[in-house]
Amino acid sequence: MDFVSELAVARYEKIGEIVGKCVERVEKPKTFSDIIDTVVTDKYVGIPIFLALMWAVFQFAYSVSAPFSDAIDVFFSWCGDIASGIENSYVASFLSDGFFGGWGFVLVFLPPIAFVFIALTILEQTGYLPRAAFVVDRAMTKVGLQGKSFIPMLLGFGCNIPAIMATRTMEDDVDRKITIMVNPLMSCSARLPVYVLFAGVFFKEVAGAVVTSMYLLGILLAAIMATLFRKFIFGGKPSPLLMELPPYETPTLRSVLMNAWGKTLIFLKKAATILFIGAIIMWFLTTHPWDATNGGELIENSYASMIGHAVEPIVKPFGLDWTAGVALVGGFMAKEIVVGTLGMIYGVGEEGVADVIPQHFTPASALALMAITLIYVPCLATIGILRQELGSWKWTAFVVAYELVLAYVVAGIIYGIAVGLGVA
Amino acid sequence: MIRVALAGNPNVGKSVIFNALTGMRQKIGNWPGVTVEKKEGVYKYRDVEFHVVDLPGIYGLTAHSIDEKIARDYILKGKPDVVVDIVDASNIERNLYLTMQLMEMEANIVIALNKMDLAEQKGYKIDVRKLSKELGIPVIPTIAVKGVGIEELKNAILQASKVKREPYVRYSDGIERYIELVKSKIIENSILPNYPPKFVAIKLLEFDDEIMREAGIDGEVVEKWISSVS
Amino acid sequence: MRWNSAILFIVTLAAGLIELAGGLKGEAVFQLFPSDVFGGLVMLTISAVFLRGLTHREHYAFYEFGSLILLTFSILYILVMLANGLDAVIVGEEWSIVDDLRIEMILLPLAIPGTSRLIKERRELPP
Repeated sequence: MDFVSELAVARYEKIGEIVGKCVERVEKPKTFSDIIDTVVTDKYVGIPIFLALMWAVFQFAYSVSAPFSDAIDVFFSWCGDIASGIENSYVASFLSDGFFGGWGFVLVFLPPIAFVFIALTILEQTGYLPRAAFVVDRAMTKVGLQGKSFIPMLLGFGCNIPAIMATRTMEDDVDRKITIMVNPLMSCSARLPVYVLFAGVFFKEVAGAVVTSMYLLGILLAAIMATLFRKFIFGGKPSPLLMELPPYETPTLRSVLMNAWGKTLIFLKKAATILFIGAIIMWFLTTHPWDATNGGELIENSYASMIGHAVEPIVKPFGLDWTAGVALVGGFMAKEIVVGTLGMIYGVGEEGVADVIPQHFTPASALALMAITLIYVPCLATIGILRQELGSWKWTAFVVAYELVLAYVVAGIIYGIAVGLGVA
Repeated sequence: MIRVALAGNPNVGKSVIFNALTGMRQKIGNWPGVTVEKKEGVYKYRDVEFHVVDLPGIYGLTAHSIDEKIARDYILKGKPDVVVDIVDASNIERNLYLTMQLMEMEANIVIALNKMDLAEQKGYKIDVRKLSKELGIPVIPTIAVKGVGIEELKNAILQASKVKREPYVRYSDGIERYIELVKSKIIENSILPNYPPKFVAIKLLEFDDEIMREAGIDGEVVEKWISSVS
Repeated sequence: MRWNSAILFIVTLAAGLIELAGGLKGEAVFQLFPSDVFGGLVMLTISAVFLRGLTHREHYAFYEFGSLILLTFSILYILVMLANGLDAVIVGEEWSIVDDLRIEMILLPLAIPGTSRLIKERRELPP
């Protein structure tokens, strides 16, 4: 006889007997949460509602924050313009492109980060977030992620920096690490101009499909890498979502703003310094040796360009030349810069690039460049935030390294297939 | 000085009651040898001094988890004068499971039936007087977060400390036969005479490692004792 | 209330289909209905919520929550419009309010009865 369970049964019998005599159960009144849950966990409309609300978060975080980012950008450009009037051209360049350019570069991230956290805090405080995590948990678990990874991954399509910070809602350390490490593969909006330019020039009729396939490639690679990291590095399984669903609450403006401000402050305090130093280094690389670049005018004589030439043999197998190398080095600073850098090198400006790139690229090498832009390294700002959120340079270096290797392999495969199919 | 221990499941509002009883006069340390937090405090009620220990939140009293072992050892060995069992009224069935086990230990229990407001919202109507009679334990309804029932609880603790009641729980006849049998053997051989014999009997039937070791009895002996019943 | 749900269902369905068609075609079909695939899908989702409510035992829950989502998007698009206007001022671009006006903003009043019912329930019912 198993007395452990026998006694448990006996105790519950006794409890049932007592409760039966002393507790009366009135028909449970309907609660407010029941009403909402009827709709948001409905088997037909539950998931569409979730996706619609995520779209609202995305719009809010990136569209509504845009004027604030632009205001910051305009302000620092203005400061830069004033500084560039300084007699001493070296000081002028340092102040306008390095110092003010650097601060502008760092601070434009503040509005989207603040808006992401305003939106997420509202969803969290209403009590919807834990339910949302449930809705997508099954699909995410299949690729080694977790229900709570969904929102950070989605936000990655806008910008990886607020996206990586959004993983702060995840409790489990391993789940969070994996989500952070694959997040740069979600194609942020800064990469879009590169796709649009090259797809538009080389794949006119199917440009839309080519651009879309870049996004899908990023998602696919993120799923594969997350599965591999889970399997070979961290082991174990995504932590199950066991949470008691809290009742719905009305968030208060004060607590939403406090929370969002707190998270934004973390970015400002910790990541901003790293980013600023990085921006200064990039200024140095693109304007030195000072005399050779004629005071930052001739980027093709700069250290950045030398690095571009140095990487040429590496990208040569994909039909890319040193100009692509320089553009990619520039893209390390921020992927928005890739197209602009090409314009600078070809001496045609950003608008003229579309006319001259057929001389330097083939359709196949254009595909390779797009894939590399998608994958190769997180931009400087993302590296700063990776360091902050992963808490170690070792893991940050690992992310950079795996992305470089992955970019090389995937670009090679794509170039090979494209050439094989006669696209070139 | 009256020594009081607070027991209850996790998330029943135990620390709220602890704070309501002791106010500012508390001390936070660790239970000896482990990293589990131990909170102690004192308060005065009608010129009597009370010393309160907040036991870890637990669902039962096995020796498997550190928290449960700490609570059990404190009640068995520390022998507090009164054990306040905090029961979540909105989840009464699950919470009474611990109460049953505290009764097996013959602790001098006072029940604080907390979260009465939530229970009402959930549609439970609890006849507190009847519950107290059925259990043979004083039951004080409280809403700790609003401070409701704390004075009554203090009073009940004081009263309970004067008359040492030993609640008695009787399970179904089928299982009581075994318990009685093992209990008589325990008394006969004066095994662990410092512990309540019914509790020891139940724990031996459950093959509880700790109690078996302390009693110096292995499973075979227990099997032999009960073989006469079936 | 089923009537309200039915009207909202038809209106949001139509708006969603027009926006979606415009989005797939690459240019807006009518003024006020931008070429917006995702925006169109959002409207279709809202219409699906109202439709589901029509046949559901607790139809009012769907009516109320559907109204809440509609209201959320109305306000969101108004915020986006304001942001775009502000942005144009900051960057110094031309901007006309007509470009950013969209059907969801005009539907905002229709979302109010359902949402206010929801708010009333929030006050009256246990959480």
